[in-house]
Amino acid sequence: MYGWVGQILRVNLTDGTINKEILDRAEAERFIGARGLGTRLFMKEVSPTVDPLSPENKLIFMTGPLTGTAAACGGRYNVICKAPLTGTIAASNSGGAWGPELKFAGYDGVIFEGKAPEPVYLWIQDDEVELRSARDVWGKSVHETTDLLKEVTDEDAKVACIGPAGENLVKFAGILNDYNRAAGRSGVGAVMGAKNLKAVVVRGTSGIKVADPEGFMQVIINARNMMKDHPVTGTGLGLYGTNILINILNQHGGLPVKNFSAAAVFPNAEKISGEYHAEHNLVRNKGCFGCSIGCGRVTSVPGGKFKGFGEGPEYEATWVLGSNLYNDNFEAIAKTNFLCNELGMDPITLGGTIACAMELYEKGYLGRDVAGCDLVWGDAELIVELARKTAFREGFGNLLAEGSYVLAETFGHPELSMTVKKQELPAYDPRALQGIGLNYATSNRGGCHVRGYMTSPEVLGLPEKLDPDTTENKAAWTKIFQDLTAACDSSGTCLFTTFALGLPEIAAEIRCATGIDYTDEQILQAGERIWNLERLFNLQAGFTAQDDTLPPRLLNEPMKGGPHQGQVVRLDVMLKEYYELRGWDQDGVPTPAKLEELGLSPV
Amino acid sequence: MKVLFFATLRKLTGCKETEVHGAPDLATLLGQLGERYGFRFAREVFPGGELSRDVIVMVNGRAVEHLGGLQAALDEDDTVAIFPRIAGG
Amino acid sequence: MKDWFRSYRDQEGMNNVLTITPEKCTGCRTCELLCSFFHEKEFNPCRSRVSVISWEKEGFSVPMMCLQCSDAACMQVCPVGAVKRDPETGAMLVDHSRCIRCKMCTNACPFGNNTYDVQLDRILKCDLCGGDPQCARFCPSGAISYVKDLAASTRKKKMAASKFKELFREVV
Repeated sequence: MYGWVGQILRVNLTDGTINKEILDRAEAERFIGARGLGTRLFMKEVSPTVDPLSPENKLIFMTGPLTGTAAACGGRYNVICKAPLTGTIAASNSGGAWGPELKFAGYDGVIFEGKAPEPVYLWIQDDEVELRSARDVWGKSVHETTDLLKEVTDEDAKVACIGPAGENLVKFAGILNDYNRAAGRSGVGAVMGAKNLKAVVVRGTSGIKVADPEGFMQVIINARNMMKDHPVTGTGLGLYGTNILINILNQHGGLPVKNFSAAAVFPNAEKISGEYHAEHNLVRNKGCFGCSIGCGRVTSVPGGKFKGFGEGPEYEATWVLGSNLYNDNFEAIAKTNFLCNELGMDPITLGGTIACAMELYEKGYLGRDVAGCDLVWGDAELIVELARKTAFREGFGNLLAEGSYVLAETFGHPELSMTVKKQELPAYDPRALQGIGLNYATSNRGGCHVRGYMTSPEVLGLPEKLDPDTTENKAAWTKIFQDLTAACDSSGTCLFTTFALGLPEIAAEIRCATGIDYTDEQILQAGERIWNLERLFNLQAGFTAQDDTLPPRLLNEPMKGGPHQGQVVRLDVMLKEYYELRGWDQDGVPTPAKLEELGLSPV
Repeated sequence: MKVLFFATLRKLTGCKETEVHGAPDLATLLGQLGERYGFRFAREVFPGGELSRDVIVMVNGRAVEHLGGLQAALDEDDTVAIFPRIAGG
Repeated sequence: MKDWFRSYRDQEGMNNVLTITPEKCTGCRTCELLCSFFHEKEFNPCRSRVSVISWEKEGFSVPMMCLQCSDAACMQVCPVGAVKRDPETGAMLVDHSRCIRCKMCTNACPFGNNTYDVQLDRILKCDLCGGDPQCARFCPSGAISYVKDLAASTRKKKMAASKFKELFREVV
């Protein structure tokens, strides 16, 4: 096969059997790869009502047809399972070099089923695949585990593993590969931990072929030139990383502060900005496999209380551990982020949960007696300590490890959990950008910015500037962004390419790599098919239109100040239009006609 | 009024913010800034008297696209923020 | 492949040298992808003539490839005279019809930049892609460049000098 390498590994952890299966070409054509194909295979095999942490849940690592090729930023893979944090479908996306290495070993994906009787890791060396005891690395951090497993396998092997957070079933534990790249959200690491699977170690030495080498070269030369010439992908992300957004969102009045309870303007934004990061703590930038952007930050805090070295923090981590906690200590943010990488958990949900705890404390709903400390806004040392306690479920950390929804509900105030479908919201207050509110409410994995990044048109003016305060056309834009993102994620390339590249370029890459004569519209339709498939999973898992909503604060409490003072999210009007555009009925259920159009009708 | 500069623009201005007086609209303001910070700044932000596609300009947090572009009216107590359009994340 | 292969003449490639600036390398390995694709029509870092050696935790990477030595050990050690310099590009080329796969060149190279591919039964060695090295052409960060040898050394000098300047400014 071209693009895809044509083989899937199936590993039954319960009985230790390992099988190689031929990739179903027809399904690959329809669902492309990674997020789409992984979800399709998952849904064929697993009941939507499965308990996420039970052996019956499966865990699928899946690459796309462009993963490991020279396509623009083709370094990505997805992890698919039912999410312990949300109960929705989870598709967590990661870069680095692990995904390409899996394909060089000859596999498009790995399906894990069952539960190992004791901790194991999978060692894939081209055709030779074996489960090995992970007794020596259980309990170890991501960095230690990666070092040790490279030592006993191959120093050029790539390691995807969980840290203590995954072992301890922290509901938002991630899977980290290549030390610092994370399939971060929704708790995929906890599913791995529940299966007693510590790591997947890969070394591959074969190649990936594309159907039309000359055409592919033309396409990637064009795509790479567009990437180079675009201000975001050619200049900005490389120079400042994603943190460049701190000042922009702050000026825009959309940088959430104190668990979204205050005006979305942080007086000390400059001290946690990308500019500050570049000037004070940046060692150099780093790229994932095949990446021409290099947005990764290698960061050092050379001394003091928060001494450390690692990667990040990204904009999301900086915001959620910074302004959202009223913390302007960049070194503490970096340190907490390093801990999240080493212990293996999602900083967004961690920070969102701490923010919720701090607000519960401020309002008197949660006392020092339970928390064991004074949860005051901006206590930098406390934030670092809570991260550690959460990963090990130590003391109050045991409750934080459940995420903000369970935390807030425990104290009788679920409305203070800033989540959609129990997943914490990212770094854009939707009262300052209406469209992102619609995207949050309808995202198939709950609160998330990388399902339909409406910030791009509403704040950055890319590909064109939309008025952030109006609801007009937001449903149509959201739908297109969601579908294109699903296609991009499924191809195995990075979403950041879409700042510079459009559907024609991504479709051309997929076409030349696979040799399948997709039209641009068919690629976008594949994205829509994937979106609807995920929706069907969630509906079958018990979600309804009632869950396509936002925390009541964002719908009812007018923004307290800043450029968007007085705004609430006018979700109703956008949501109604969105359902119609999607071809869903008023209950948010895809109509039979829509399912037939997408080829998703039940057989 | 207060004018804020971000990211790579700071290399051209040598400062993070400045005060400007007597600019009734954005075009006038950018003209004054061009004189103050020189050719490279003007080329980056205001090439050929047009607002560059590669900058984001906000007046009190509102993008100038929604305020009439170069004709956007300015008051003495306004805050104007100028960014290169390089952000993403 | 002609469309994307520019001959060295198009860009006056004579006397150019491949130059490595490791501090610019982001470790993305685009060079490995394009090298293997140019030579073997597949994406396969194991068949690339350039290898990015990374210290992943430190985030530091160095691209390693043949530097086309003037006194080339690979040429001197080859018992059948299969390694010769291309007079046009200056690349040391392996004549595969003469090569007996003794692998002495892989041992002799002080940098380890010649490798032997077991499956292909062939020595893999940088040939400067006939005068338009794809690694340099596609390197997104400028860590690998193919420039006039004089330009390369002048650039290094300027980089070193700018460090002096920084120091000097701190004193003043």
